[in-house]
Amino acid sequence: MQAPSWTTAEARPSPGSARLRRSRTWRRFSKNRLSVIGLAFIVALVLSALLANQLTPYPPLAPNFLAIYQPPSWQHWLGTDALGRDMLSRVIYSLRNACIVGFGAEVVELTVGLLLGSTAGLIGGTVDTILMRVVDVVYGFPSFLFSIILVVMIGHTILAILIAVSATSWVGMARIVRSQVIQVRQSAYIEHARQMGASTWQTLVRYVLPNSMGPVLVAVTFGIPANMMSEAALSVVGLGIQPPTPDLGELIIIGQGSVLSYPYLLIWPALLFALTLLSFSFVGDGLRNVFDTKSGR
Amino acid sequence: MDLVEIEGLRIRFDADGQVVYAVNGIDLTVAEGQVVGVVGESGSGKSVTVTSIPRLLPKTARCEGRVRFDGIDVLNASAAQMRAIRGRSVGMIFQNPLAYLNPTRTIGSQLMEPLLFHHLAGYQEARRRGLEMLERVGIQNPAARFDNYPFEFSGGMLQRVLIATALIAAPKLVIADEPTTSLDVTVQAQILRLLKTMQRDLKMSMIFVTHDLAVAAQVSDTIYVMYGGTVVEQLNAADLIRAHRHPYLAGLLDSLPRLDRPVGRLPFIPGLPVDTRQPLAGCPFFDRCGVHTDDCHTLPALTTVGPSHRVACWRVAGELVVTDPTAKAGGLSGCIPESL
Repeated sequence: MQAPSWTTAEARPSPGSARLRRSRTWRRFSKNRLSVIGLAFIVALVLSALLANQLTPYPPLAPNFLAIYQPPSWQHWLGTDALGRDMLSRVIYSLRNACIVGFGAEVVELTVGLLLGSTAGLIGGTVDTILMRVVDVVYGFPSFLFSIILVVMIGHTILAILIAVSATSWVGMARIVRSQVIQVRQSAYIEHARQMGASTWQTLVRYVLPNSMGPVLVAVTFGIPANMMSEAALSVVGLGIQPPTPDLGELIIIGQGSVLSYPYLLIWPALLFALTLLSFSFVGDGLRNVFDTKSGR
Repeated sequence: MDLVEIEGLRIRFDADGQVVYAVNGIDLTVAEGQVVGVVGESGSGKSVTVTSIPRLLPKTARCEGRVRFDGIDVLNASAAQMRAIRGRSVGMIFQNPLAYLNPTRTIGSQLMEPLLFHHLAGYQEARRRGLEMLERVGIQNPAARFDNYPFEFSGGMLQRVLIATALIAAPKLVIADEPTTSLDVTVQAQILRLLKTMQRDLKMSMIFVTHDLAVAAQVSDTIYVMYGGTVVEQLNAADLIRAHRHPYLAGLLDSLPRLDRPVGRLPFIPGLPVDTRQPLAGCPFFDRCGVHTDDCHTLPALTTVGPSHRVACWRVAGELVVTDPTAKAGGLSGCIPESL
């Protein structure tokens, strides 16, 4: 009688191989189909922001007074604005700023948050108390007001906006990292790492941080859209990117001014903005599924 | 000079005004190649004592006395000196292997850590030795298992991995802190045999912490019986049944279930364990001891009563034989398996 094929252990891939682990992560992530759609949407957004030069049919700043307030057509897919500028080109270019501030501020936030949070969590004691009181103080600041003051002080450059947005947003991240580090630090495997002769740095990088990453990554997917929001909000109050450089917040506020006569000027940028924010939430949900080991594989 | 010399070790924990007197003056030595069993009930201070050797106690611990390992004054050594010892000269095996392995990394990558942390080998060499070690501890098809994650192993297998990790750098001393407590009896026997074989092959010393007298007797050369943060009796494993002197140890041996007698109510030691929140005043076993005298209000010192046999009990020091050991010597052979 022929032996069943599964008896040959070598034939099967080992259950913990890197490839299979990756597929397990993906399977959990894609359990929520919206997460996949959101991820695809974000990738498309980032790509179009990066390739804005190649993609846009018209220069985003060039006025064309022969084609003002045109409704969407084959020439201008999203219509044109009061100066005859192509809305599609302007929307794509405005994504650039949104992405720069959204992702850039998140990088700053993550770096500062990881640094302060892990220092506070790992060292503890007085260092922890001092750092966390600093966090509390910054947390108590009205963050948007703080951003406005910073922009006014530094100037309306993209760098100033990036600094202004990240100046207050790191506190949440620092708290999350700290609570994670404190939780992981008490694990038995940290004791084991110390027992094997790991230095504090090795313990942090190889043991503490990888095990703290779940909630941190989820927080990142919510931080990026929050940053984009702040950036757009700065534009709304007139402190964002200097016109004529297009910006989602500015496009929306201009569109809102003429919503009764030319609704498409509001609808497209607002829709795109809303979808972007929504996509990040969906991706965040997907990531939460990946890291939530309690609800089964 | 012995590999481990602990003299007059006292450890207390200060946490938010609450003081716990965990260890109250302990002397313990481990010679090279010797297996020392440390036996005691929960809270008797056995784990705390052995964790002080690689100095891995929590920050709240306050230590007094002397701990020497391999000529190094552990309690006063620098952090770098201690790190150089951990994993390299002292390996440790714990009770719950799943909790002691990093869930986010493969067992292979963790197995190699002692070699990599101490720069004893490059990656390729460490991997080769890791595979070799997995084979030696009885993991089948190590090459395929190397890249598995801890959750893909059973408890017994993980304990083998943990043993391999502790031994990969060929340490002089391995500390096994209740390594078989979470395993079932069959696996326990396998793990014990493996540990003993590895200890012999690698010519290591071992400290074996357990609350199981039978296991301690199987594995150890010398047994230290702890109670209330003190050593109450130290004797050769071979003498455990025939020559034990302390009333606590007598009570423990009495309460072992036996196979060669009708099943009845098991004898037990009446009373509760010592309240470790109070400093010791007198013999820790005073409240539960059936034969205590007025002398017992002062803490008895370990007194030599025979070759490598010491007891801390005023009655024994005053030549009193607490129980008649010959009465149960025959019966007990039923519950303590042969030495490995």
